[in-house]
Amino acid sequence: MAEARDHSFPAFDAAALARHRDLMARMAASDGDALHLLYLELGTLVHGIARRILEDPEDAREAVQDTFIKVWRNAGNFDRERGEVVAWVVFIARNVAIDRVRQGARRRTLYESIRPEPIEPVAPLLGRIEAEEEVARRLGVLSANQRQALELAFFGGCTHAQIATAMQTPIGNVKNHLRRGLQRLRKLATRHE
Amino acid sequence: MSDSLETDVYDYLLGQMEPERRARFEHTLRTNSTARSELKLQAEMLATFARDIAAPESLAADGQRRVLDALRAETSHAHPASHGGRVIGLRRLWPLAAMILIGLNFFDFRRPLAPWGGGPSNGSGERAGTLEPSVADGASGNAKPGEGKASAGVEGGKKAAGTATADAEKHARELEQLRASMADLQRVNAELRSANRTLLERIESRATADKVQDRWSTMELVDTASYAAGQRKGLAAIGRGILTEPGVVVPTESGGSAGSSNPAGETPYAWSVYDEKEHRGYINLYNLPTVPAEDVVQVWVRMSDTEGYQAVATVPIQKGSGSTQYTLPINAGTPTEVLVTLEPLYGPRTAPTGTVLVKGP
Repeated sequence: MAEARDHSFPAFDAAALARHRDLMARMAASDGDALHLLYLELGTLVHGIARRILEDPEDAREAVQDTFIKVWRNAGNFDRERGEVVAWVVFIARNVAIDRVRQGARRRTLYESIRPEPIEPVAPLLGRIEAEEEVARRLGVLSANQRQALELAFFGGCTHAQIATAMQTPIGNVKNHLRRGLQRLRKLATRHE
Repeated sequence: MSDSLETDVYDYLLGQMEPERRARFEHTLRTNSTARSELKLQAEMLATFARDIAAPESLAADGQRRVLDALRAETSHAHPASHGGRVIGLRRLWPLAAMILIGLNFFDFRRPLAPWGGGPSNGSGERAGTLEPSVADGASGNAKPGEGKASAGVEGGKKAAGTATADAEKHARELEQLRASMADLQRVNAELRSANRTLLERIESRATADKVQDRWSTMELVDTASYAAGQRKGLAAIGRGILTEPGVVVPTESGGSAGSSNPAGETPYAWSVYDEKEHRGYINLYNLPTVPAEDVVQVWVRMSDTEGYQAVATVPIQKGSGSTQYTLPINAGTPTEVLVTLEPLYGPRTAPTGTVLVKGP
């Protein structure tokens, strides 16, 4: 088995991670200000994930609200050995949004905006780049199948069987896509350690 | 690392375990540090993946306000941290205050009257001797013999003194308890006032920021050689380009904006605008080299009150150009420096370590 390592969260620096842990400890001691500060730090991230899953902006807003309320109520259960605060919050947000879908909220269609033809390379625009364009460029290390399987699993909450149906491929292939995709993510995450 | 552990962790994280299997795995997590390490690794890998796909997105102002109101309502029921082992919940404050006030009134009501004369009432309206109000001192009553009724007055006074002593002690204990409760109330009140003041200051600073209209700060970013040489295009030329084609600045063959020349030729170039009201930054990059598939163009900012750089956004690049935007927390200031580097796609982003593409101002 590989040695246990303390992997830092790539998207945040060490100071931010320490700050999050401090806020979590304060919340566990019933410091309400700490929750507000954590919301200011991670609110946009949580909202982005909720919007990725939920079609309706109001559903997404409520999912953000429910996420942070859940974080507050379970602050005493946070265990750093199981992941940094950000990862914990991301998974809470994901689960809250998926629960909303299962209760009837409209699910945002994955890959709804992917255009098969390349976008014309005009001068860069001042404004937001489509999320699917960023996915296509950043995740080039994953095959299309691996990326799609991971997205369906994470954002869609799909089981292997559901992914197999969505991708019109045998379950065995789905498991391979997921396993290899995770191996690729693991390799990249540990490449410079 | 065994495949079965990896699979178990993955299924656990994505909620794909049956209750029985989940319970067994949670026991494994409690007792097996390797399992916990694997859980931490996969959780952070998948969270990074999710963050890269689902770009951070701000709520609309109204939505943000409603979320903050809901969080405030949720935390208003919080119990303050205990002091010396005594905890007073916010919900018990008002009833406790009412009890104290009633207790004080009751105590005042029950306080014996000052003695007028000695002996028990003998039908003439004279009162028996009673205690003085200073019960804390445990003073015993001294009945004063009435005129012409000394012996009866002394007997009655002794009985009254015994009862009065017991009452005095009881009242003394009650008073001490009430004083202690009052001290607790005052301490909690001070804590609440302090928290309220902090919240108000935060709201005020936000209101002050909201009053600032359309404050944008702009910045040019150039390659390291041009940076060292102090070469810049000039933001006026860029502004001219924006005014002629709003939102679009078309780079010329030389890499500069229309109507200007870039002394650095086709070297990487960028310009950045930061909206101080919305706490959002925009950056446009040009003439970038080909980005390897395993790397990413990373934008960093340095704030005036911090030493290091903070990773804020990555930039998708098409044919050497790209743009992105990023949002900083409400309480963050305006970036004083912007740096763009080439970093590993999934490597740690604790500090810029890769090739510097452009920097500014």
